[in-house]
Amino acid sequence: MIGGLAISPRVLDHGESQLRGPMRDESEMTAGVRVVPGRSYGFFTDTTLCIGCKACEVACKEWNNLPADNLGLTGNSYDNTTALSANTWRHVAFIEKLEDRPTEMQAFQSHWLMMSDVCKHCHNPPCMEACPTGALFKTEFDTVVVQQDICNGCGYCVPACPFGVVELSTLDGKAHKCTLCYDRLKGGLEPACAKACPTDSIMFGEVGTLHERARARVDDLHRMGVGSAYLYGAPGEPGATGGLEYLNAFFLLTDKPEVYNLPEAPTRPADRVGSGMIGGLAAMAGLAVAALALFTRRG
Amino acid sequence: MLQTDDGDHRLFVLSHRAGLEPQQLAPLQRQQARVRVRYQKARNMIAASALALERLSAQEGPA
Repeated sequence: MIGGLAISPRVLDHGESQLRGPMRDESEMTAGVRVVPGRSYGFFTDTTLCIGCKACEVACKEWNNLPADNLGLTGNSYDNTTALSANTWRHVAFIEKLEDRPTEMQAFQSHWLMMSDVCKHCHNPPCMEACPTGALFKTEFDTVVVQQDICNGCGYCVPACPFGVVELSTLDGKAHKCTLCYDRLKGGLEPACAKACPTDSIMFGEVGTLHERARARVDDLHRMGVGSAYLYGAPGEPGATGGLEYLNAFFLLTDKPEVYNLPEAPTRPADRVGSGMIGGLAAMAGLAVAALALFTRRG
Repeated sequence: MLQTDDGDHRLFVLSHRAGLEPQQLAPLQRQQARVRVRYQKARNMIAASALALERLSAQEGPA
């Protein structure tokens, strides 16, 4: 125990700063969780801890060899990444609270809401349901990944995602999104963004454990006077609607989801197939009746 | 990410027009093979679009 924090006894395995090779189950030391196939892993992003440093964006691009894009200034606050894309799998949103006035603000409150957005790795992923080739699949860690060698670039996953996460690359024509660092998980490493986060705003772990930790954090914030804190994407909470059940990457927010560019009540497009088909059949029947009436009258 | 003979590093994204698939690159990376890339600049991005890749022998020069 150091400063009230539980430290894995495994840190004593590596007393020297010179390492001879990769550490076994490194995630146990950096995130306090061992990565085991067959269990469910995800992110809990506590937006009240985000300082907008963008270390997660940089770590993601570094590890996944993603090019910098959207060059130049957007004029949109300090946010020059603007959105998640085929080349940007983490995006730190800088939400400027323009309705606030300095003279009316509480002394401790800033003008900013910051949130590191990412693929939600839905429990029932609509992108995977829409994929006709099976390129999108659930891994042994319960995360959602696009297999680049199987993706044919049809783009059906793009409108299927209720969060606007998946995008086709203009260069290779294939769908790209966060893999929750599938390669790192296979090697027993914590995902790059979570490891780089200096305030632990991004926490990696087993989804069940993260839910417990998140609920305790919401209770703490309520006790401290932040009554607006709530979870988005945890079971039974906003964001876990429309048949999605829950999101493996979920968030703690302090304002309405729309303020963070998140849908208020995301849904699975697959749930609308039945009503869409009935509507189409009804339209066809109506047209047939109209045509019959028209030709009968002429005859 | 490829390294030039001068030690510079360049990031390439495989173009959909390239005659090979991403999974064919892994063996080249494992062998640290020397390659020659035909590419064009990608718009609004710090990367180039790789149009063709040719494997070189160890003696063959400039990569």
